Amino acid sequence: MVRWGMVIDLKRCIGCQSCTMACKTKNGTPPGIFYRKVLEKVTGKYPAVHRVYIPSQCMHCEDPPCVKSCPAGVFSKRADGIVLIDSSKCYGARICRMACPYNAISFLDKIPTYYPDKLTPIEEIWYQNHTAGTAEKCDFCADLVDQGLKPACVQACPTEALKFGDLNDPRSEVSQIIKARGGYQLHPELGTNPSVYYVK
Amino acid sequence: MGIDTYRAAAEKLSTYQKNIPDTFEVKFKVQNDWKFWEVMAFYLGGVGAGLYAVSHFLNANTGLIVGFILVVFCKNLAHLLSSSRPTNAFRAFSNPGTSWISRGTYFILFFSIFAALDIASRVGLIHWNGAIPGMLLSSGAVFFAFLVMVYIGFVMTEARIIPLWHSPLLPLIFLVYSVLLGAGLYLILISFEGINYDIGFFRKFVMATIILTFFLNFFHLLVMLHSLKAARHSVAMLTKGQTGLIFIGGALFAGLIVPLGLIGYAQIANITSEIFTIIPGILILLGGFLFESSFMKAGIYNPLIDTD
Repeated sequence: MVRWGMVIDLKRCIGCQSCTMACKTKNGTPPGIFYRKVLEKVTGKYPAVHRVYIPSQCMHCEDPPCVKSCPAGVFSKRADGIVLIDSSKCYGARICRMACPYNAISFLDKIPTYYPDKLTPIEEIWYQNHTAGTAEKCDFCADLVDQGLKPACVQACPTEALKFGDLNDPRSEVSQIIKARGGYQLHPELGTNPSVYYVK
Repeated sequence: MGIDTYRAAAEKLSTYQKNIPDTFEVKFKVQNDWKFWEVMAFYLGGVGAGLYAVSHFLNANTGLIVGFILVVFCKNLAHLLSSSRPTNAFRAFSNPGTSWISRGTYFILFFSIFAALDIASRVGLIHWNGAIPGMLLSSGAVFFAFLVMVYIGFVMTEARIIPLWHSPLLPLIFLVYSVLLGAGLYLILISFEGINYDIGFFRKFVMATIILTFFLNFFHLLVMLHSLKAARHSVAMLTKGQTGLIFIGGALFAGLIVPLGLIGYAQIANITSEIFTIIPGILILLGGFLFESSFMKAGIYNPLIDTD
């Protein structure tokens, strides 16, 4: 059985936020809402200072805390490992945001617009898929994946720092990279077994 | 569009842009998902269920009715007000298998049914053949009141990203606090109804609960001091600044130590004046609210990666 997953090569990531923008464009998220983002951290002391970029998103955990904690059954897990969200069921308990150890769930209090009191034509189309007062998150672009394509962020990454594939297939590129370069997950101690791996 | 429209648009955009660096930065962030109405819902549920349990053991019908109203009407109303889409709130019943909020919704439902029937039979609206049905209803109502008191602690332990809340001690803290709050409200109620039973025993019970609450709080903070960095930040927030003043001065000193002193003095000096029941009762209720609001405020997210 397929288990979709991602490997993020931190050596290749240049923090350009192309994946962030591709995601925003694909999902038409309102201002301030990011399903994925590249976090920045400055480490070390002058003169040996480094800026580190850490792309973060929904980890599509094998044992997702959001699915367990949501009282309304908003989250579901597909057989291929993708954790989906049905915002129409959400009533705004917001426990998912606190249960997720990866801070990957956004909450739309209201739908802000880029210009006051007026939606641009593209916003009118985009915001049909969003409801105020509901939680939202990355779905690994399940619609694209079902068509045999890669998620928008993976397609947009100019340095090919993001790789997408079947974690259960030992011959897939993602499995090979994880094996060869010692891929690691974030917060493995929590037992969520994320489908997103990082390599340095 | 005129120049003012563009200016307004630019100002609005700048408010979003101000938040963007914060979004992309690895740092400790205070939770702002649960605010006033969530605190109210948790608090009113604790007071109501605690009062119901205390009143059951003291056989006080007024307390049972007030406790029932607080849980069934006030707590649920606060939950609805906290919800962003109240018309969808019925969906909270959807996931009792794994979600503590969902389980809590069932606990409140069963509590409402058992407590309504229990109260109805106590005030003579319903008559049963024999004592067993009444006893079963009564025990069922207290059992579900206990679950209403304790489930909030389990809900908060589900918050894995907030180490201050993700602690096995929390259900116990919320249970003991709820009993204390119920006892606090009961102290006020008996002041108006008149003290017609052994107040000495009840005072000892309240004092023991205050001491237990104090030590549980202390122990929890001590454990958190040796936990993750976000937990240590939460402890710092609870002990310093404005939140520290609310927690230490309001929740611990005014809400626990002062009532303990007043009740202890009244017990030793054998004073039965209502002042020594009303004032500690009010302080306990106020302290409980301040405890829950400061505890909610000090919930700090653990960053995705180490901040060092």
